[in-house]
Amino acid sequence: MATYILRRLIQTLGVVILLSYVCFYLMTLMPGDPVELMISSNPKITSEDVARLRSLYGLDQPAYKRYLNWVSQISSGDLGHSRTYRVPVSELLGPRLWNTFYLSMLALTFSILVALPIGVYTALNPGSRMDSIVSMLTFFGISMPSFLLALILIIIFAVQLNWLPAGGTETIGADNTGLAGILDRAKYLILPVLSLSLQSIGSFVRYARGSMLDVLRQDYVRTAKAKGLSYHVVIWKHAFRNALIPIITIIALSLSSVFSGALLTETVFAYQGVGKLVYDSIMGNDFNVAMVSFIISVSMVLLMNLIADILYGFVDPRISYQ
Amino acid sequence: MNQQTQDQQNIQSMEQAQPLWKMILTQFSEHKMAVAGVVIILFFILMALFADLISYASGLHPHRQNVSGRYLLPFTYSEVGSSEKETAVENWINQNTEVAAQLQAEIVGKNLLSVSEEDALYELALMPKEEGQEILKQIETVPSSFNQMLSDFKKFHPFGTDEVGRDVFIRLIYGARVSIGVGILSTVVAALIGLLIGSLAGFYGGWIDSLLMRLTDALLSLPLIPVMIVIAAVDLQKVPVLADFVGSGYESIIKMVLIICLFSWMTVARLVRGSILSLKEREFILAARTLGCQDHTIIFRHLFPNVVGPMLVSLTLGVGSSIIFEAALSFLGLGIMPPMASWGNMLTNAQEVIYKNVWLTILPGLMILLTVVSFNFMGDGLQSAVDPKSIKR
Amino acid sequence: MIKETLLSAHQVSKHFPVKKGFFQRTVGQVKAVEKVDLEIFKGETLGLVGESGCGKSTLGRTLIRLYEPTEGEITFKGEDFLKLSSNNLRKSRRNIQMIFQDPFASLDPRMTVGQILQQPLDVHDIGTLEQRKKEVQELLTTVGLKASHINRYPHEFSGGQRQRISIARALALKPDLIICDEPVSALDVSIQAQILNLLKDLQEQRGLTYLFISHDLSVIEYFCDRVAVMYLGKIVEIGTRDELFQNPKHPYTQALLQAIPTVGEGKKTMKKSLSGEVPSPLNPPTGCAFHPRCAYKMDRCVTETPKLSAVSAGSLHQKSCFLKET
Repeated sequence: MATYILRRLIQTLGVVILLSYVCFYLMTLMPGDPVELMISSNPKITSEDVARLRSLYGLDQPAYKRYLNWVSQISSGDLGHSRTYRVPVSELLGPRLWNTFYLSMLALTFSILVALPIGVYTALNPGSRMDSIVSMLTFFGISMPSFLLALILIIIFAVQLNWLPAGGTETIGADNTGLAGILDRAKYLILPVLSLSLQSIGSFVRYARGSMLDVLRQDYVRTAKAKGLSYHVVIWKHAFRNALIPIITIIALSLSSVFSGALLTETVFAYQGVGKLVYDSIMGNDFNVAMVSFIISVSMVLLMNLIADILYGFVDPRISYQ
Repeated sequence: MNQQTQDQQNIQSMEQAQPLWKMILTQFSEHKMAVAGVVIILFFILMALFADLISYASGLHPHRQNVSGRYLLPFTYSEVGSSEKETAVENWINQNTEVAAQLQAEIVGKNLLSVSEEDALYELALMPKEEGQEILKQIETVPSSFNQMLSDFKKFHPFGTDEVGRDVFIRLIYGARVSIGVGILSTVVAALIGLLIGSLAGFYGGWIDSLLMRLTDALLSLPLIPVMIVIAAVDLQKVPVLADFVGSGYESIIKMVLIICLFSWMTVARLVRGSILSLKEREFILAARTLGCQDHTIIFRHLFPNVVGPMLVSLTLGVGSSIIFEAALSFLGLGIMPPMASWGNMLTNAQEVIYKNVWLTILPGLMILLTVVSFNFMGDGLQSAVDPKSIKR
Repeated sequence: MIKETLLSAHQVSKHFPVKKGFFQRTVGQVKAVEKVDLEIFKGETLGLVGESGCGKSTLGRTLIRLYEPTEGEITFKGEDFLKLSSNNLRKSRRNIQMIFQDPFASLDPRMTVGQILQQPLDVHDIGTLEQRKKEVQELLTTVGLKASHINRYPHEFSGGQRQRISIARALALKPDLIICDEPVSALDVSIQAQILNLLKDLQEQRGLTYLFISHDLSVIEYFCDRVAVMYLGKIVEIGTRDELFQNPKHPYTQALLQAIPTVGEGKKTMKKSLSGEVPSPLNPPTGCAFHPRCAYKMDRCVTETPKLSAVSAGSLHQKSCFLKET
């Protein structure tokens, strides 16, 4: 088990390092490096100045050398400065990460709480009117891009009804301590969480229903029924527990897509999370921020996948790690 | 003799041969939602194919802007501003000097307008359309280009106009071209890549298999949207091979297709590899070999038909997700670049325009949702249709 | 009576490499079939019996070169079967056909029965199209199906009917030898008898030779003329049915026969029942592979490997055991 985790950790680290280099290289291919920006803001600049600036910023060196420089700078604990926000990257990142964490965890919890009961209910009543309505709705849920749902929710709840804010993270200038602060934050989270959840609700319902139906057909459930156990014990203790195993896999696998979807949701709602930071810094040529926030968000997803895999082993006694 | 008649009867009672595709079709048509999906998809594809024709017939142009007709609601008319009208008339007079002089003379000569000859056409253009038409009726020959120009001044917009006064209806139709086109193209290319990689891994096994499958798993574990954004932000001018496409007008389409392909071949690759691995050891393949079948018979007669069904399903579902990816990236301003219309980039400024005209968000959104749902239903229908066990008589 | 040898195998082995890790290093060999000598006579039914995993199916598949043997010689109708080029092999396979165990996996789900049965005729270009169609109908009636089933798909049939289709497919090329790889193991007992009787009738009508692979001793006893017993990739005893069932010589055969459940005789004693697990073929025991489970284990069984040799001089009843008499 320990060797399995270690091996997976090393693999994950390898992927992150490889990806960070690819990302670094891609950033050099993006429009607008610092010198280009200076040229456009200062028309009187001469070609000698450009060359001097380029060597000053190290831009005349090949990409891999610059990458190594960057890595050594990062590993010495200096994450660099943000050009747009004029603060060290490390200061910027902390609260952003928490914001994204709240958003994705709330969305995930919400989708599980909604999807599981519906999935189990439809599995217990297959072919009912409710079942076909739900299956129809899940199709639309899966097909609905989260940013589109976000826009529709804004139109309904912010523009037309004016019940909730259309975007932001918290009311600027308001008292953000204690209960009032939490309520204020919650107001800004409702719409993002809703729009981020719908897609996962759709797929969770389908998997929960399918997995529950599968289990209900198994002999051990029939045996349990035949033993004369009560309906509730059969359903919850025998069937549901076993149905949970594949459902947990799907939930674990959807962690990364929820996180990835959070980027879009955050952008639509101007929610100050790490996803919006990745997007804004790339669009604003804020190189240091873009690299660090991108790598951190990717590592977080990979780490979540790893944790999900390990947890899976605890849930399913049949899985063994060599 | 008895034997013979019985044989005859046997052959008579023999059930009618039905090719497999026909049965699949019958099976598919029982899935009502899937059929509805196909109808919608076909309708959109036809619409996209005849976009130029629709544009010509309706007189609407996807790129024509009109500052005096912005944010119009559906079912409204737009009229261009008077300064634009004057410029247009001036241009027309300069291009058709003789015809213009004749026309001016006729108008003033018949005393239809009490202005000087030079001002006659300007006056005509600036007055409300109906009054102008009344005047023109009394003139013997009105040049068609003049008529065309006048009718361009006032347009009917079934779906309203956007923030720069472009017609939403015609942009949606041209957007269908780009969105569905990118969706289908990138899925097909991705499927080919997946087919190649999956069959390489499945056939050769060994370290090739390990390498390719590690790559597949690594790509599958990445959070796609952030990674796609990083790649989409790349300036094609700085990429040697792709720099040629810059300025061809299609660069953003090519970029989109490449990016979506890069991240959607994995499902097909896994599917193909899995099928090949399981089929390779299936007894009917061994049986075919003992019958003396050659490799190509086994591949095309036995392996291929058994892989093509599931592949078709994943292709159909893939188009749906490709359209979503395109829409998402274009929405973020990293995908299809204006003035070219795609359903995604029509939503780019959605957060601001919803306060002026909600239809600008709802209509493209509805198109995306409808198309993706249709493809997903079609995939669902195909899934149950290609499963041989579901074939009924 | 001099028996004509149809197929003979000499010292045939089939090893599967076990690969591990990213670079697919070969870390071991599964010796599925190890140095087997076997003769199949024309017109007989040779049974091949053993526990699951003993390599009997692998031997069957190796004999018709579905698996290339690691070493050894196979002669079929006096011809060196292993030296055939792939083209000649395809032609030669007309004469050896195979019936597989799983009637649900051995028929391509996407072909109709007619297509399945016509394929062998197409592949070997036999007759005109008309004749092929007629032949397919005849095949169907021969195996007890209706000619009207021709346009149906395999999944529309029951397991027994599917196995009849498999038999019809094997018959299409009019082979001399049919290798039946557990043809009735996946079927209900009532259906088993029907299929076995069909195979027997066909043998009488067409002079077929069968290699009949099964783990079911009662089926073997009912169906076979001669029986070979396999254990861990090796043949441990071979003889006529009566010799083997009345007078088994190898301790393993004896133990197997003891394990057949009998009805009504009230004998509840199982003197020499098998104990322990079948060892892994990846790492077989030294000497006689059966020694860890043998009731008569001697010292030399651990170090020396016994050879298959006649029980009494000149007899075709052979065993590979050091025991003089049991």
